[in-house]
Amino acid sequence: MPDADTFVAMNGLTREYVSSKGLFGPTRSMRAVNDVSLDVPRGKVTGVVGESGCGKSTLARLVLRLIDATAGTVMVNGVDLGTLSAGALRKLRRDMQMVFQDPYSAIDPRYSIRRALEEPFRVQGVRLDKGVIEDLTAKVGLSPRMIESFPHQLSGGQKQRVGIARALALKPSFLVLDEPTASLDVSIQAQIIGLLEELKQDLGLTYLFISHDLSLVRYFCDRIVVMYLGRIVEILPNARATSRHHYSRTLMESHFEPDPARRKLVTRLAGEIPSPFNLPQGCAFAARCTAASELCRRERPLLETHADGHQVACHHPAD
Amino acid sequence: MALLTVDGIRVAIGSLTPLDGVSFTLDKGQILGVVGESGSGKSLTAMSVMGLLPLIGGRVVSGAIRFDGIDLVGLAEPKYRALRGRRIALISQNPMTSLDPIIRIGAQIDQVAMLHLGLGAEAAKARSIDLMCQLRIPEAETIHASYPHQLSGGMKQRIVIAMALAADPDLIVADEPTTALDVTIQAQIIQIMVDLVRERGLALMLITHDMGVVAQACDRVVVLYAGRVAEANSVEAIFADPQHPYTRELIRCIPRHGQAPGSLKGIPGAVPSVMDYPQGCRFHPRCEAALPLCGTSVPVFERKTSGFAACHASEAVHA
Amino acid sequence: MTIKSDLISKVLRNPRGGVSAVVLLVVIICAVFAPLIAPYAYDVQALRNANLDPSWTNWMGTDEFGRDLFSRIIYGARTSLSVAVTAISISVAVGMSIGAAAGYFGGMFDRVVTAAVDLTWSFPEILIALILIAIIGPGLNSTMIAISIAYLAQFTRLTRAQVMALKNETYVEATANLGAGHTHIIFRHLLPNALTPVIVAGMLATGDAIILEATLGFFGLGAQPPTPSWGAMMSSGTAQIFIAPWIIIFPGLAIAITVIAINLFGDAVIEALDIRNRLRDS
Repeated sequence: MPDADTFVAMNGLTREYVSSKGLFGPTRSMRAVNDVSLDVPRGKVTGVVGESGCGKSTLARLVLRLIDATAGTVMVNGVDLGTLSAGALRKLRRDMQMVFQDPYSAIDPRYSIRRALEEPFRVQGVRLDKGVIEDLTAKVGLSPRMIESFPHQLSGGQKQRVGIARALALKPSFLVLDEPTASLDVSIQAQIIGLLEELKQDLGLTYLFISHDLSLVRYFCDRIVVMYLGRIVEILPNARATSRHHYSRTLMESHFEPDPARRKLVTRLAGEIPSPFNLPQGCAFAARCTAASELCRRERPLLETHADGHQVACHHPAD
Repeated sequence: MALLTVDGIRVAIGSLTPLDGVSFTLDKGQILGVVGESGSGKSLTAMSVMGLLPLIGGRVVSGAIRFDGIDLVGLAEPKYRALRGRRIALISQNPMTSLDPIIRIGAQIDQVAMLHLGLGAEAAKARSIDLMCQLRIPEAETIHASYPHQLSGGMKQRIVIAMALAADPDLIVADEPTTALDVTIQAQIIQIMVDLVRERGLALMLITHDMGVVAQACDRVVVLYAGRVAEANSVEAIFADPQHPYTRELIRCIPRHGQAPGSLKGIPGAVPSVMDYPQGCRFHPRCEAALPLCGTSVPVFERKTSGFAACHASEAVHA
Repeated sequence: MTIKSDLISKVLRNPRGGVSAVVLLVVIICAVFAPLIAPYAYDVQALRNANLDPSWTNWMGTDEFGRDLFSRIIYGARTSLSVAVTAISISVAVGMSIGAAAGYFGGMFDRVVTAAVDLTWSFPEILIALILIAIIGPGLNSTMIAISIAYLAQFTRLTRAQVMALKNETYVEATANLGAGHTHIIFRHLLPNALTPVIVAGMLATGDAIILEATLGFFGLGAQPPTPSWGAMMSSGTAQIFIAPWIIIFPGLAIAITVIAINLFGDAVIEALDIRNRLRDS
């Protein structure tokens, strides 16, 4: 049940893509996001982690209704996005914004920074007071000299600051961060994560943080959601919890710590990631899992809640 | 006598000097990590060793590169061609561009052994399949007969490694070999490369921006910043006792397991462009330990209490 | 805008760009100020003076009706340029609208547009223009309509390709996420970014359109007498080719010089903008 502390509630969210080979060829379908139910608590950072093709970016777009869901609902503040008129949805967008992965193409190359930052006000018909743009740029740590520049004159980190300023322009309470640092150098990544932490503190924001980087997610997030091939396989109630799903474990073991004293012995994963167009009947991870049994190959495990609200979809969870 | 000695090379492209005095050595059976953020010159270093600078209109203007007693700077292209692929192999970042899409996988690996070792078609194929088995490529026979588009990214990168090994080289230059791959695949590929070096006594120059990969795989590390070497040391020492503030900050940019929220802070500013490198130490505008001297005089790359570094703020040891 | 002045200086510093710009400027001035520049009226006949050699009084000689050829060529620039520029402008405007809508919305409309474009693409422009004139009848206005329709496919196709590529840019998604509607996205982001290659293609097509206009004029399907048109002038010159070859040579030169100048200028702009790939990829 969504309660007052839940900002976004996703229920059975599914997005199916159909592709056909040629005009008369057979059609194939895949579910980029498959029956995902997830609550995003207010004022917290919810991290979604997974490898390419796990559906995390599609999920980000479904939450903001940038693409339509094939099935399932998204409730924001108790309002079902699917029932909203175009106008009402447009107005709601002031409250939920997104920071995109690629800062290099997130600003129209023909727009000056000022014009890019004014656009949210124009689009939403919100009065633009004097000095607002200057305040916004100051808030994200951009020098006022840059307001009149064009995107090509800025570095990647500065562009991402513009992207964040644009997302914050209309004072939203919820931000979806879609790999906001994936295309930046580590020294800049740490700057941007620091800025996002600060903004969350100052403005009381709620974040949905999408990433492939486990160390970042563990550092930055209050709750960690692990996705594999379109489904949630595990939800860790806090960043310190030990994962119990064998896929999440593999993910953690594959991550190298910046410390030569903590080198890992990589146990090789058997098998390849199955094609999303042709998923196995049982657990999607069974073919690569060391703990897989006959049951795993036959029946798909459901997401079950254990102690502390730790949720795992596994027939044989690790301890 | 080291297998590869790079001694103070300066590289010019037109009127710019993107590499300015880079030195390191690499022995057989050793993995050298060349680390830096974008714009540090790490890919140019790889191209200099591979003799590929003319492709981008660059040349080594001073300094020396010696490989097994051969002077590589100014080596005639036909002689270089005999070395390249045969004794020095390259693994590039993007496996997609290293493989010809219209030629079968097997033929591409066979070709290397036929060209460089003068093997016949049958012998080359047997050798390729043997090599693929060593790299734990499942169903090597089937994959030998497939086309690149039929394989996943991780499998393609393994094929590229097989091609690099096909002529039994002494030195492998790997330029960000796992950056385009998912973490679980990255872990496997890094493990495979480490095993190869240990089993075959190869020398591996591993170019990366990922301090985690460095800590996991390398024996020695060279840290580049804005076209110069900031620091060089053994992997244990460089993480335990970094001498250059840049190295220290770079390690701190990666969140560690259990790191307190709000403690990640990044390095202010950005890597300068080759067009406007600052005077003196090129890191000084971003450095919190900067002295007045740092803005005017270029620090010498010299022996420190631990390893070698180019920093005025770190005390030199005169042997 | 620094970007624009930078572009202009880049084009003009290129030798081909500079020379062709001067030539085009002269042609445009002739077209605009024809009555002030031409020494005689273009339609005053004096049969006594028919087929005169070029001289100090008639720089390019006279035609078979004794009209001053130089004056007619100056007025001819007016006809050629105004027909070509108007026709291509209409073609660009309509092509951009159809192409942008097809590329952005996709679906059935896009399929119909693509099929129509592919169909017309497989016929030469001259054939399309001839068929159209056969239907609507000869004259300057029909020439204009025929030319604009003949080139429509090119601009539709180019705009569609640009828009299809641009709509996947993150800033389009980011703007949609601000709550912007289709109109805002198309007019504020997609079209401004797609404009440059389309304008350049339009410029190059203007050169082709001058030739097409001259060809139609040559066949008597374009400008009707006594309106001077370079193509029609060449056509009437064919009868006098052995007595007064200049009647065919000078209009021919006028066409060649203008078209070559337009093409060289267009090339210089393409080079300065570095957009050869974007033009070719469509």
